[in-house]
Amino acid sequence: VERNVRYLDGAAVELPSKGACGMHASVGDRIVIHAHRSGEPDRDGEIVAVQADDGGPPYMVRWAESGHETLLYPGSDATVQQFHSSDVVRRL
Amino acid sequence: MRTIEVLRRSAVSIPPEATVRAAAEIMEESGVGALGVVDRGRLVGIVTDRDLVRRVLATGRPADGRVDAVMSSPVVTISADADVHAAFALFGRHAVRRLAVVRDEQFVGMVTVDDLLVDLAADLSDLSRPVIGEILFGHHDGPVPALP
Repeated sequence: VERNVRYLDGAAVELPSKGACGMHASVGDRIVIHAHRSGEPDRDGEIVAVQADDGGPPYMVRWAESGHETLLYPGSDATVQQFHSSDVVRRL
Repeated sequence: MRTIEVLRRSAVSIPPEATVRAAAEIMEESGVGALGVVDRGRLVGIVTDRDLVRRVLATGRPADGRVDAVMSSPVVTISADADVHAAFALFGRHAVRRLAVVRDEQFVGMVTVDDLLVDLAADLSDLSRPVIGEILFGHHDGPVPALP
């Protein structure tokens, strides 16, 4: 992912990259939403369904703590940790 | 630049029959302050943390009520392929801090005033740095070519 280093008040800061990140994922992968502010935790869940044939978003995600399942439309704050052992994709 | 290209934050949607409690838990766990409410693929509303405060906590509504009873609807939307300046115009025209981004009526994300302001501030800072440098350290013109 292209880094987005900018200058604010004379200091270099790295902003989250802009735009869709061309993400691909499979069922069983872990998706991580990185924190936007220091001190906030990253959020993560398991991808339980993929809508597109090419593995593109949106993804049905089961959140780690509550077990709720929601559709997630990943921005550039999200990364996928891929696990190739589960290659069977359940369609929505 | 297209609106889809300025989306930084991941967006989350829930069905209209989800409970208010579930919406609050999902906001907390996913780290987002607004959820798209999507019914059979179509965006029908948005529920924000502020909606939960004003329409649930402040009124004493039950937390196990349906989220579509407290969502904001209709939603101000922008096409994913619209120029980002169209988003500026919509923010100026409507008293909202978020726009739902759609493609073929499908919800694909959320763009916020805050994100655009951070972008603008960074762009202005980048633009002003060489100008400030010239003011502080003088102007460096190239040599004038000699006459033939």
